Amino acid sequence: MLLTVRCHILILLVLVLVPWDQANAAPSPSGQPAVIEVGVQPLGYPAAMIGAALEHDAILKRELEAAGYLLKFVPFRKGSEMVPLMGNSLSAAIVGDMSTIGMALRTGICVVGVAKKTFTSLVGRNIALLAQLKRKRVAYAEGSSAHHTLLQALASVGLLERDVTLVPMDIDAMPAALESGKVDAFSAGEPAPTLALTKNTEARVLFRGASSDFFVISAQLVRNDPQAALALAAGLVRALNWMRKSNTNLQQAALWAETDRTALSPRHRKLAQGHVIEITRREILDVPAAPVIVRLPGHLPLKDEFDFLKRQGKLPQDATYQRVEHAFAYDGLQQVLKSPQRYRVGEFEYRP
Amino acid sequence: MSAAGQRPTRLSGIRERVIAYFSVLSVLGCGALILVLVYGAPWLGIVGIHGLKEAEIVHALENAADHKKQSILTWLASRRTELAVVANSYDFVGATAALLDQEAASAIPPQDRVRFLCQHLSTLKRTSPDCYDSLALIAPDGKIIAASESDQIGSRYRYGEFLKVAFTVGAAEQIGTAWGNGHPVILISRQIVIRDRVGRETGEVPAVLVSVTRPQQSLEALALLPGVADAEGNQMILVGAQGELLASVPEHKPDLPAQDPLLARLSRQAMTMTESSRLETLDDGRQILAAYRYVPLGVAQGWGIAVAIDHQKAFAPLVSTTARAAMFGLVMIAIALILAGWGGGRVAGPIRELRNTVLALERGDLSARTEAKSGVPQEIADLATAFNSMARRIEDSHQDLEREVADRTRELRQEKENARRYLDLAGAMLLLLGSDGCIRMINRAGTQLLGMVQGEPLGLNWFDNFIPREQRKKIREIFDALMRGEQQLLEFYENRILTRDKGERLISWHNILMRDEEGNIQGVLCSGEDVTDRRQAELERGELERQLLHTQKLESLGVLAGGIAHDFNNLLMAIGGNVELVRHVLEPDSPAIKYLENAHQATKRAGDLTRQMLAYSGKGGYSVKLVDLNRLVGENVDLMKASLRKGATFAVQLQPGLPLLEADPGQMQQVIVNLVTNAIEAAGEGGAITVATGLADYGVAQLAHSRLEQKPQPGRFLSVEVADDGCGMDQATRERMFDPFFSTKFTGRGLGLSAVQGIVRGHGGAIFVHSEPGGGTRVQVLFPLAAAAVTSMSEVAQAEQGRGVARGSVLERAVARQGDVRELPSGGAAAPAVVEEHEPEGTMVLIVDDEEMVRLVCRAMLRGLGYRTMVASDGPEAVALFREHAEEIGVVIMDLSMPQMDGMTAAEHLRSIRPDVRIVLSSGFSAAEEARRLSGHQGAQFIQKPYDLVSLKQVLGQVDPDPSP
Repeated sequence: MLLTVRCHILILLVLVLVPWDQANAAPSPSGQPAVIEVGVQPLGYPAAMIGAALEHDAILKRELEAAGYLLKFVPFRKGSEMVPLMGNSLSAAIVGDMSTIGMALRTGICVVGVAKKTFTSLVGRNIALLAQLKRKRVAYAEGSSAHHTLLQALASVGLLERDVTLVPMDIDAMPAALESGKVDAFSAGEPAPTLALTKNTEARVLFRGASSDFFVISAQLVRNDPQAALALAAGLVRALNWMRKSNTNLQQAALWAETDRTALSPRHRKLAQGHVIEITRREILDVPAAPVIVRLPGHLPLKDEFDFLKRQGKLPQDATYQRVEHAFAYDGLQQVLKSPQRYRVGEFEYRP
Repeated sequence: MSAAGQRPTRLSGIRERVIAYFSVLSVLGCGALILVLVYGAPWLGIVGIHGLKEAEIVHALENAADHKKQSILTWLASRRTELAVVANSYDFVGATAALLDQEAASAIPPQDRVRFLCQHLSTLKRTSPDCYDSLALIAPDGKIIAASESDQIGSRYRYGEFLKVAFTVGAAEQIGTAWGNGHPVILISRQIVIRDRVGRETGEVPAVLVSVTRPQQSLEALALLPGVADAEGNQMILVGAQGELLASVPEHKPDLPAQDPLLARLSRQAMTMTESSRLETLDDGRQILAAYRYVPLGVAQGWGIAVAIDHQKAFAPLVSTTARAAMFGLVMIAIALILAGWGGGRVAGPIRELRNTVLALERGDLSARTEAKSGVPQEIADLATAFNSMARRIEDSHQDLEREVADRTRELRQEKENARRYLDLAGAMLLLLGSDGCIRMINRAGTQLLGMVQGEPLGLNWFDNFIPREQRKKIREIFDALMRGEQQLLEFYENRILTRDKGERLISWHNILMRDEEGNIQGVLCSGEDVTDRRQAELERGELERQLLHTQKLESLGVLAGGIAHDFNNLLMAIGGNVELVRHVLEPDSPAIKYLENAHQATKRAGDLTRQMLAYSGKGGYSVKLVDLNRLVGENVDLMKASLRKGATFAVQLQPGLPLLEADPGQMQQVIVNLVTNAIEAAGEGGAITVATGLADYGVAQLAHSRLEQKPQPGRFLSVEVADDGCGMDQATRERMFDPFFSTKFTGRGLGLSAVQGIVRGHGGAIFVHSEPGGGTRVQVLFPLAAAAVTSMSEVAQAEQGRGVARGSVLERAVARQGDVRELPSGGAAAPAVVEEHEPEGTMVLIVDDEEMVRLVCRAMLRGLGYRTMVASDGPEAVALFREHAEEIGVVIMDLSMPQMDGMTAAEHLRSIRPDVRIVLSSGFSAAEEARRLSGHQGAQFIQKPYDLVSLKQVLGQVDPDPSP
């Protein structure tokens, strides 16, 4: 009898001492706020602008604090670094196509809406045609949307990865590497292509592939606290509305994004604010219906990308598209947009 | 081959060569230049015209596509803005909301509101007449509530699929395409959003505003692509999200892409939502350069733009330019070649004349000269002058050279003759073999050695003609390997060769390889010396040396055996003497007598052994007498028949009438006994043994087979032959059978045959051995028949009757030859009387011996015989004692081997004191040796150690035949 009681006490002690996974972010009974970590990419536009706006959204912060959460933004150099963390330490993130597919296959996520609709570019120097890439050195970031674009570009002219010399590299280092001749081409999203094209007259875009960024939330958070997830979705809509509202807001967001970028990569080149604003408008703000992902007949989101990556051997052979499709079935954004006043998407309170 | 003998070829002249080289270089250079200029050299950092042109074309295509993309986006942006302005206008939104709010009471009739809304839409269409086909305001149920064309009001909107998308929550605007009236149309929608009083969106969407546009008429800018899309064969197309052809330049029917391969390729690629530029090959083989652009129209759709240009046509100007450049280059090369030909001719003319002069010189016309004409290049003129000078020198030198060559030829001929003489003078054979093994040169000595005449061996194959057949193949293989460089040259070696008149000869060779200037092996020069005789002499000398060595070894063994026997005899003297003394003092019936007799017999056998050793060493007892060999053989064979094994037979074949043999009968007996004993043991049970005697003459050749190192002189010999049919001996056993202490029998002492050898050697005889394994053994010993030997049986009988005393021993005969020896009784009866007489008791005998035991025994024996004794341990003591008691001492028994002063010297001293002193010499050595040493000493007798009482008494009786006991 005494032994049984001791075992129970021991089990309770273990349960108390073992920390709960932060992805289960939920207010603890002890009053300590749970942390909602949002992964952002300060080196990419316009994801950096959206991340900066979310970070300074006082309404979002207040609503989550009221629900017992502490909002924290974690910068990453590339989306692939967030894939293994989603569902563990990360509760939300702004990531590209490949990372979204990777997260959906690895853990449960809910895609709130699109955060960028743009091109990822393969920029080359002294190369006119795509086929001339053979045996050239190409910089890329493994697992990124740009990697997907590189694979698309090579496949479109019958080349494989082994036909070129792949040089893994951080996105912010690519323009300088192209200019110095360390690489003959690179594949990256904005702002790297713009930086390379403005600085080097010999640089040309060899290939552009459409790519998207998505704002995703851990399915566990959606399941455990749907209101917190809706608050995050509202924060995305509010951020886009706020930036659409005035150029001043865009400039402010660009300043915040630049600060975040500098903190992460102080050495590399800065993009002019005008370019930043132009990129942001072109790639998210002026995109019709953004951030809503419109369901077109016969069109499944990221299906073509999924199939292509699987053909290329970048995904496990037993991976199924149903997990990706399930991630896109989340209707949080529709709930928010149906009740814009309730979720205060038209009210803006961004602290400096 | 001379230049004059060569046929001139088309490129043999300087002028032709200059033209040929120049043309090749020009064509290569021009071609390479054109190739580099056209296609570039990336490894040199040179971008060719082709690359630049390609980049230029691609750039133009991209610019056209970008331009069109931008114009479409601008057009769309204008339309979106216009619709947004209308859709967001307060009045428009309010009128729409009021119109759809059926329950709301309003003072304005619905028809007026519809008219108001339609007026807005008509105004917008009129403002941009080329941009809209129609504008409509559509309720969520799909009914048109207002339109730019009023006849559409109330009807169901025809693009229902697009309408569903347009009403998507949150999708404020939407762009799409649809198919209407046989052509595609562009649809743009804008949601009408209701706001509250403070302007906040309520989330309610009562209707959407949709515009319809035909792209071909609206996107006229597509045609404005100077220099690219308007060229013949070039294409620019705009395709929708579903692949529909929205617009094209030149204009095509919307359904044409499915039929035209170019349009199909462009449409397919344009739909991939990517942008790129590429060189593509169509199914019909045409190549195109195409630039693709993507126009995003929302989150999930977009349009594609493709601009293409025919590759062949695009590069046609470049090809034409290249061809013209090549043609120009060829013309320039042709002109340059003409000039080069003319210049080459100017240079080559004087050189050709110079060549003709050289050819004349080469043909032997040393007086040929060239002439430097005016106008030729200075270098050619200088060359002509130098050539003429050189020709004169050559002419002079040629004359000197001819004289010198004649002199040198004469000298060489003389030297060659001298060299031939030198070679002929050489005593050794000098031979030069070619790589084929044939004789290239051979000197006179070699020819003579081969038994041929001068010049006959030349060209003959050395191996086939002069190497013995059994060695031919092996030596030929070695020689061939040597010629191939696979074998190391043996500079010195010997082999046998065949000669015509001397049979096989052994030749010692010294060789050197002959090589040409490049080091290739041409043959072998051999110097051979006939060493057949020398080698034979060396072999014989070696055999003699071996025999000498063996003889020396045996002599050493003999000396050793003699020394041992001497010491043994002294010891046996002490042992046997003492035993005999004890036996005499004991009672005859004493039980100790038996043991003393055993000891006495052992002493005698030991004495036999020492005699064998002495016999081997040649120092055995040598009491030479006339011996009847037949009788001796017969007696001993009869005695030894008892030793025959079971079933063995004994055959004795004695040749009658044999002369007497002058020999030691004891040693003869030893020879017979030893040989017969060995034969009995070898024959074993059931064997046959034959003993024969004979007399025959033996020559050198026969005696050469004697087993003794020292061969006797040819002559007549008595022989004893012992044969058996036993197991015989192999080669190794035969060679060692006479070695002392070598025995094949377990109990053998190995001294029997050694003693036989020593005895025969001592008698100057010979031994023959014939034995083969399984074939029995036959041993024959020869003894030389002395010239003075008694040859008749009558003499034998006489000798036996006289007991041979007169010539009983070598010692006696030696003493007799001195002429001063005491006269021995000639009568046959005298000798036994003397022998049996005893030294009268009381006679003083001086015993001189360095061995104390011998002295003691001898003194005891003498006392036992009744003599008085005095002893001395060495020569000086004996001389001193004799000097003191010269008259008193009757007999002196003197040991021969003593330190300080030997017995002979001491005896001479004693005789100098009293010449008639009677001396008995004693020694462990043989009597023969002592007899030789005693030559010249009168009155001396000898007694062999060990001796017993009988012997002592007998010898004392001999030295004193008239004793006065």
